[in-house]
Amino acid sequence: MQRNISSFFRPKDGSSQGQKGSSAAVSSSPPAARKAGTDQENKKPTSTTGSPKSAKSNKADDVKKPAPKPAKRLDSLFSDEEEDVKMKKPRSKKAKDDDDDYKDEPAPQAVTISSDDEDATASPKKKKPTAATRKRKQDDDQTARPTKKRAPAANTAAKKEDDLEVLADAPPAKKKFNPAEFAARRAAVNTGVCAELPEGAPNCLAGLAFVFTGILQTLPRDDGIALVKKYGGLVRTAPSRNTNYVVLGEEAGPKKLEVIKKLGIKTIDENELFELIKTRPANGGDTAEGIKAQKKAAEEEKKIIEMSKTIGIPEPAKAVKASSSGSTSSQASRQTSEQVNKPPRSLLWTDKYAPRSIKDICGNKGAVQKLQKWLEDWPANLKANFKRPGPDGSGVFRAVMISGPPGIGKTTAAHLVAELAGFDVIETNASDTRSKNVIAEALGTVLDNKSIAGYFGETKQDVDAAKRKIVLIMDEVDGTSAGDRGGAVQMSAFCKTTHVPLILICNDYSLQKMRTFDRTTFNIQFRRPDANAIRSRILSIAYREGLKIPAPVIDQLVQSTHADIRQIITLLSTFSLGETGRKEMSFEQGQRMAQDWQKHIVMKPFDIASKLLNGEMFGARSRATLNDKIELYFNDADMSPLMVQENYLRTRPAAGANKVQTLTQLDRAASSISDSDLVDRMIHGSQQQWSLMPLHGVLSTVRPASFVANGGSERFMFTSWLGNYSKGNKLSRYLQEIQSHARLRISGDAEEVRTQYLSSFFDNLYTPIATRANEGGVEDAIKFMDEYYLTKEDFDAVLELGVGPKNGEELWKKIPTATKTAFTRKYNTGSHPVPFIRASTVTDPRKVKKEVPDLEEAMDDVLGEEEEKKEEENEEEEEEDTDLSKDKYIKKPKASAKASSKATAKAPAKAPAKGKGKAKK
Amino acid sequence: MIESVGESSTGPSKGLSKKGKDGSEGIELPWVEKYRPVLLNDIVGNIETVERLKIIARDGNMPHIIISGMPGIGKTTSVLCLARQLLGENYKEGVLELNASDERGVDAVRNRIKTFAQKHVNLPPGRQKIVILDEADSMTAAAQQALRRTMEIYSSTTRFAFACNQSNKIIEPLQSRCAILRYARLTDAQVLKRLKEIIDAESVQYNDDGLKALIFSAEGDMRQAINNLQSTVAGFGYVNEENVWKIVDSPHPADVQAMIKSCQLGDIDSALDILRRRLWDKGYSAVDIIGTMFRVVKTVDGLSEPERLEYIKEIGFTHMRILDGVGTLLQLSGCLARLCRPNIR
Repeated sequence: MQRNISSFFRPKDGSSQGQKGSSAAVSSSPPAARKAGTDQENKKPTSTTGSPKSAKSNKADDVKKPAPKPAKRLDSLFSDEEEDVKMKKPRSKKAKDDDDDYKDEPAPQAVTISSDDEDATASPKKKKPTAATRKRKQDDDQTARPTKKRAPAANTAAKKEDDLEVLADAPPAKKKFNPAEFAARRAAVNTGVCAELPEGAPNCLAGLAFVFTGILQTLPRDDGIALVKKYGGLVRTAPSRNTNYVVLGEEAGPKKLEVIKKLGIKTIDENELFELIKTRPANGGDTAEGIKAQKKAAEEEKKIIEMSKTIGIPEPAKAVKASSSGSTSSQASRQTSEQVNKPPRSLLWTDKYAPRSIKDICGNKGAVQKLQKWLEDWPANLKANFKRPGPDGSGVFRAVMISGPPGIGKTTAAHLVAELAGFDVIETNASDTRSKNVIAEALGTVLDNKSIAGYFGETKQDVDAAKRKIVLIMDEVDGTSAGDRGGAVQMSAFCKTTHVPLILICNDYSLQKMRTFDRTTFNIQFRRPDANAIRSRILSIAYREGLKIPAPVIDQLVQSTHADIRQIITLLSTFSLGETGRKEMSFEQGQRMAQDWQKHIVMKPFDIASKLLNGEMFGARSRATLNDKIELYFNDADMSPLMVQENYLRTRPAAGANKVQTLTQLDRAASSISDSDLVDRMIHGSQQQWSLMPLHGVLSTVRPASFVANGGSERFMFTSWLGNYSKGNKLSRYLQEIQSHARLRISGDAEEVRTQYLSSFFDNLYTPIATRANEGGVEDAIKFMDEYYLTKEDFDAVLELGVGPKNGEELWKKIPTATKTAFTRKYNTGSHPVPFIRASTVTDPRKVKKEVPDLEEAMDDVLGEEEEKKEEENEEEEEEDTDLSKDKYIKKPKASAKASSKATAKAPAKAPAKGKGKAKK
Repeated sequence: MIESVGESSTGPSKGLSKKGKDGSEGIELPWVEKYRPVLLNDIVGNIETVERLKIIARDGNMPHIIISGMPGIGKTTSVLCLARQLLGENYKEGVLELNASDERGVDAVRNRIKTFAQKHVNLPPGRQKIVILDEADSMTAAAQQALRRTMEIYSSTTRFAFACNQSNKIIEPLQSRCAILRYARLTDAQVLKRLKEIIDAESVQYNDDGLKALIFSAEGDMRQAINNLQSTVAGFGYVNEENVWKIVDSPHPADVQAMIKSCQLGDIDSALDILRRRLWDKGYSAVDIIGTMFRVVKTVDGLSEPERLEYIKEIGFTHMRILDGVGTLLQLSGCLARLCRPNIR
């Protein structure tokens, strides 16, 4: 205890770290020395601290070392590892320097692209395959390998040392789960277990395509894929003619094997892959693929440089112009251009590099074209009154709906297209109120506006010619919320009548509230662009900002952000804020950053279910802790238990070797779910014990899943509980209704009606109609209904409530339509007793006043004259109704006119039915 | 690098403490507020991220940021420091700070924030107005939706900073617009360093075990550590292990861990002994004990996952009984017995 605290009191970053550093250095030197000779060993310490590059890296290390790692032990482990990586680079560089006198040429890592030297930009890729460098590379490799071997040794040594030191305060380090700690541990595990991960020349797998299949023995597939990508290789999902190697593991799918055999692709295992990485020269060397890849890379680079000139705020263009124009004016103009350049500095990168033309938009070319065409054709379609569908059917729509995930350029595309087609943009978004009334008022006036933007320009004569038109862009349509009730419907109503083109943008078109736009808008879907579409753009932005980022890193960023371009750009701009010297992103850095930046979104119920019930999470190799799984429950604490309950029978339990075992597992899962209901009652019941939530999560979600989880073979279903629950509510409402009608004749409550009466009702209602419809069966049924005061709705309810052999809904379908209509007609023509009048059917205000006491008394047990009186009135009312339905359309205008003249101020807007009724009296 | 941070952090805090002592002795701020860092340099922990913030503070042009992490690790402080350093004397006009105590539903976003974004404030080049939305995870999804285009349209004059505990409560479109900075829990050494500074400034009497207990109970939460320190000083005047545990007052996880370990071995006697002597007789309530057991079992070493789930089930049911009002030693003992049962041969 005492010792521990004292270790805290030591200036930790100073001496203790220094110690560790030196111990690592000591343990590392012997193997290196064995290879490189003694004099080099003498030189090494000075070289690592001496050269500017390594000094910098040391400093970087210093900064990083005290970085906030969750636990001390992990902290030191982590930083040691980092140190290893960092130290290796300067050393190998030093080795190079010793071998040849290439001191002046920058090492590949240190190259930064400078815009004025075309040659230099290509240098890292072009210059390497020269003979001298290749030789150097080999030397380099040889020195690199021993250093690599040393790494794990040093690692474990450091680990042991740390273990000793931290042993006493292990409990605090282990106390609670922490994502960062987890990540760190994962990283440690990776380098610790798979110590044999090879180091190769940068980009050595360039131009080679790999396919991973089956379960690899020594490393997880993800790591293998990351490895290949790190060295510039391509990873495909399925083997094809273009595949160079298949990395074959155990239990590969037979179909894939067949394809591989047929195409004659070379198969290797992971050791051979490592060998490949170790031996291949940088950039693929002079092998066919390598040369091809290099050529392609060079071309791409040229394109990127070309492109980088055109993107962003056109400041360099101005600067170039200024310098090229006469020397006297250049001074002044440079000053102005500098002034111009100043403000852009304070722009976000996302604004600075926002697309300025259609071709700048990454991906979704087809969708953008569609949008463009629709907008261009809009005036013509307006003339045709939107009757001509056109080739893609967009001609009949006055509005389009763009949908797609965030950050892929929907809003940008809409604005650009509008601008290109010569429209002025009026935009509303979620930051504006968009309730029904506001939309009706605001848009109603907007739609007839004309833009006056042109009148303030310099060239007034163009205005009339251009006749600037307006396009209305409504962003974030799905962002309407509680305050905006009716907004969506109103908007979609406008889509039908608008006189200006309307572009609506949303993220999730499948939402319920978007249904209203189904028929009124032309849906254009934007998809996430693939890495290829994004890469060149990101590279050119990076180039403009002087960042050097290898293509594989970008691919990785694209993957982890789900192709969210905006986020990648933001990420890069944040990255560039780091230490000022750092202009290059390594693969590992990219990986870590991508992991950090992974958007944490609340998972959807389906994702939760499939993640839980997929065996992966509960497998032996799973790295997910119990807390991770409970966290899944908390993603949607209401839905995830229901989803598990719905789907737990759809999996094939891993432990289920035979049927008995399977059943046992299912039984356990079911018991756990039922236990969770007990907990749920304490949480949501009167006690409100919310502290039991984690327990509920375990019992309702995690534990059942742990029993049955193993790759659901069927598709997961959405929980049916909600539907059944509301159906149950509906049916008990029916029951209540029937009981309240029939109570004048029977004495049972709703439950008894269900258990005792319904069966007999069914026999007396359905059976006569089904069996002897023509021999008075219909009349009998109606008579029976009248006797029990059952309405037509009650009749339907009785059918719906039937179960088993009396499943009325099914049976009713089998009755001939003629019989059904005869029954309906018969029932509608006759008059029927109703036990009481519902207030909603009473129309005349005067009548209501009169009947209020009646209504109450009808509910009382005392019945008598009141009853008859009421019935009379009912009949009267029904007559009115039927009357109306017959000649409603003929007399409507007259009646409503009368009504409005007669009616009190109270009910002018009510349906004509009332007016009619009144007028008659 | 760290040295310089340390020095500067003691500087203002010392100055502050002197002021506090010279000025009025009657009114004393909570130490958490008194020693809340004013400059980014004073912020402890998360070096790399704070380093970036410093660069932003120096160069201006702050991107939209989301800072997420556990409570008490300096999220709000970082944002406030950043804003203060960026805007200096313009802080008052240039910053709109809203936290969960303010009204910030859709309407507030549409009116207040949007108006602020449109407002003109004279700021030096490269500086923008800043909207700080603290505890942003408690904003409704609708309010967040309403921020989306506002963040873009006014980005030339206004930047947003969010601080939140769970970044998954921020809708994806907002995350896509922001630089996401994740703060990690502070290491024990970092908490200790700061505690020492405060102890020096307040000339508190302490021993090492007391500090260790403080740090242990805080679990990397600086605010809690400082609060507990102040409470201990106020209550007992001397910081030692015993006093700290009296203040923190929850069953010691190490004891509970030992108890669970005994159960794993099927050693019911020693488990009951621990329960009796180290937990129950010290006066901890059954709810506290069972709650700690639940937390410990989730992460304790040496349990396979099925065992762990089984333990959680047993402990959970006991928890329910206790919540029902049966918070007796018998219930806890019974729970331990059930935990031992599968391991007794």
